[in-house]
Amino acid sequence: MSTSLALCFDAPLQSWGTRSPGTLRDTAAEPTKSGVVGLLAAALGVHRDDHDAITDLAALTLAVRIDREGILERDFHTTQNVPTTLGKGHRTVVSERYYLADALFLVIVEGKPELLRQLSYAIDSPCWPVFFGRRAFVPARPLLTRTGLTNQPAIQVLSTHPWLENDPDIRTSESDKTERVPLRTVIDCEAVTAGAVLRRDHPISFTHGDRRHGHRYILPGTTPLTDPMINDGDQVQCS
Amino acid sequence: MFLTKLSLNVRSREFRRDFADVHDQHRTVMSAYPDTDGDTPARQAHGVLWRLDPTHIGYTAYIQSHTEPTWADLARDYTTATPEVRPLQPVLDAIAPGRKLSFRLLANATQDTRPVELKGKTRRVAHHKPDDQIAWLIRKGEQHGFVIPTARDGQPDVNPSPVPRMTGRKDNSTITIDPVRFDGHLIITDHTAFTHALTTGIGRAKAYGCGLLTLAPPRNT
Repeated sequence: MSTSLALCFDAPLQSWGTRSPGTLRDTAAEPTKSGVVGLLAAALGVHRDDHDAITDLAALTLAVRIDREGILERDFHTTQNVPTTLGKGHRTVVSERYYLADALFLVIVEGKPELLRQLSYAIDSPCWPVFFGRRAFVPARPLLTRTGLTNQPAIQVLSTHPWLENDPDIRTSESDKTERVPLRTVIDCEAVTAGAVLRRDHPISFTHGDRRHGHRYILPGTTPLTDPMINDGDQVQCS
Repeated sequence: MFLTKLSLNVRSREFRRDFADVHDQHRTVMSAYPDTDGDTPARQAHGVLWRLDPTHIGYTAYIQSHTEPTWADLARDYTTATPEVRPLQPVLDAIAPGRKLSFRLLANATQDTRPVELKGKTRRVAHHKPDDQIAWLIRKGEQHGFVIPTARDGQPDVNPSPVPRMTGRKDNSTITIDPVRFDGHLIITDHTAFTHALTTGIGRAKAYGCGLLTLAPPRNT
């Protein structure tokens, strides 16, 4: 029997970077594994140097359903009066930062029941603040969905979980449609699976100055947006 | 020739799907044109070129084609206003050597590299440096019958600006395009070559929102 924990990632801005730090801070179109593991670790109060705990969290199967695609925003960002490495004088650092505006994700982690139960408590009363890729990008509504912890595999939760969209206009226009755009999904998979795509965001170490990432394989796909998913979603309220 | 202006509704799920995948965007654009038989791809047969322009509250799409488009099949909430279609003949009539115009072009400015280890196989990479991008445009101008005038500061009168990377998926392979947007002035030198460039587009990735040259009267200087 498998256990999954369903989380709602909703915020005006999110940023899920995949490339190394520098002056170009990109974002992926959906949450990265290192980002989700970092968020869960913050909720649990796991320290950056605690490699064992991070390995356990990274071993969880991650499945993401894109309930609302984000709009890509570019921020031309300058930081003035940054001391030079020699300590003599100051310079201006220019960087480009990419954000996802108004994105909405259903994030599901699947794994050992004890760890997931611990996580569901921690998400409710986190040890450290949780945020979506940048310290300022705080959740717009509670992360735990009504489904929360279930005894279903992640792949089943993906195709049955109520739609998280809470805009009444979009909900109405969508339930009136006969042909709907399916919801995009991204699921962890084996390297040998047909259609698997490589992602370099599997966290190995979050230690300051020694951040390391391995690779993992994901399977991009879609799941249909059904009437029950739209109707059940009406009861999803911010608690 | 026809030019369509679509004021896009950023809250539409269909638009958001297209925004996340440039291949879906291409398919939505092509849905306005009838199927073609023959070996020529439908986009080429209808001479379709398009571009997504950011505005202060969302996005506007400009779509140019030989064939008159029918936007009736578009999702009901895809646009915020009725699609505006107008003939492009006045612009084509205005083309004359020596005329100065202001332009905007989203281009996939690329170069072929030939690294030693690949032995003859070329790899296409995008120009990222502004100077390389301007040099690319000036070279395209030689082919397509226009020159970039010199501005007051002695530099070419064009501004390259970075555009977010466009990605998409087609038949299990990934599409990645790093385009550049050029805003500036040009002077037409060759009527035939310039008309050809205007109707067929400039550079690569024309199915994916690159290569459409839009013109306007020059800014007063």
